[in-house]
Amino acid sequence: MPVQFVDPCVSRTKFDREIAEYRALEAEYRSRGWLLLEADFPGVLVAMAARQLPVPAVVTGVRFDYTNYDFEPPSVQLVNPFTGEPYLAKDLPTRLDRQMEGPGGIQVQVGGQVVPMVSAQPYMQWYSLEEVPFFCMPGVKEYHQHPAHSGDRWELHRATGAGRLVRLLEVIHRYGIAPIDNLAINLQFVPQVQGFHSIPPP
Amino acid sequence: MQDTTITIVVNGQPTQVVANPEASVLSVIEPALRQTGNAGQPAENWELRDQEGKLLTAEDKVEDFLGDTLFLNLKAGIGG
Repeated sequence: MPVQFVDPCVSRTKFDREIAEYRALEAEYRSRGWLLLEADFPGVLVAMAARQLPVPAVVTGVRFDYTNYDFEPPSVQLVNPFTGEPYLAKDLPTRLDRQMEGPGGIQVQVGGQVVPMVSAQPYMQWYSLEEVPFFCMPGVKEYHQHPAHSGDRWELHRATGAGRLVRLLEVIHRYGIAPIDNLAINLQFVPQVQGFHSIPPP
Repeated sequence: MQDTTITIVVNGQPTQVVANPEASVLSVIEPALRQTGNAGQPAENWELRDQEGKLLTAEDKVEDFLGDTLFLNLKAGIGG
């Protein structure tokens, strides 16, 4: 549990502003499949559904922790929307993949057409499948705390709104929810003995 | 044509921008950023989308979105 060392009035006022602005447009966000489940300082829990599917599906929950905001950026985790437990890397429902063109503009020939080579670069990162992964993007605490990003400090992004609730939800929606265009359901029928059907004796 | 008012939601914060209906819809970006105090990043680091999430370009006109709410968000940028 992080310690609140910033004057709680400051963080709470900024937190309340985030929630008030969200509430003002809540119907719009709900129509996208965003469901605000909890908003109790410093935490926010939003369930994100793929409403574009014939059978809309709740894909993931997103938990924000605005402790010490905005001296520090919010912590962001993908969580099970029903239990609130953070997903381990092996259980992630989405990796927030984005398409990146290969270095040096490498092109490949596919079916007679020359197209740029692209690869999937996930915003969710981990070292072990048994770990809780982290959302690796400027504006997120886990990104700025990582030693690889010591040259890209939060202070460079703080004034841009990079840690704001709606902005982060937009990114998660764009890379994790909007690209979902199909739902595969496997049904397996297992024969079971339900009882005996007696044949009357002749 | 008379100027019109269009609602832009900047990182979740709504603001009303006065715009020329015949101008490119991207012309609303700078006033929307200025009005909401978002001076930390240049306009090219932001992206404007409609309610369906479609990315708007310089070809799109303000008059195509009269009465709509548009969404201006900081690009996701590097990471991962």
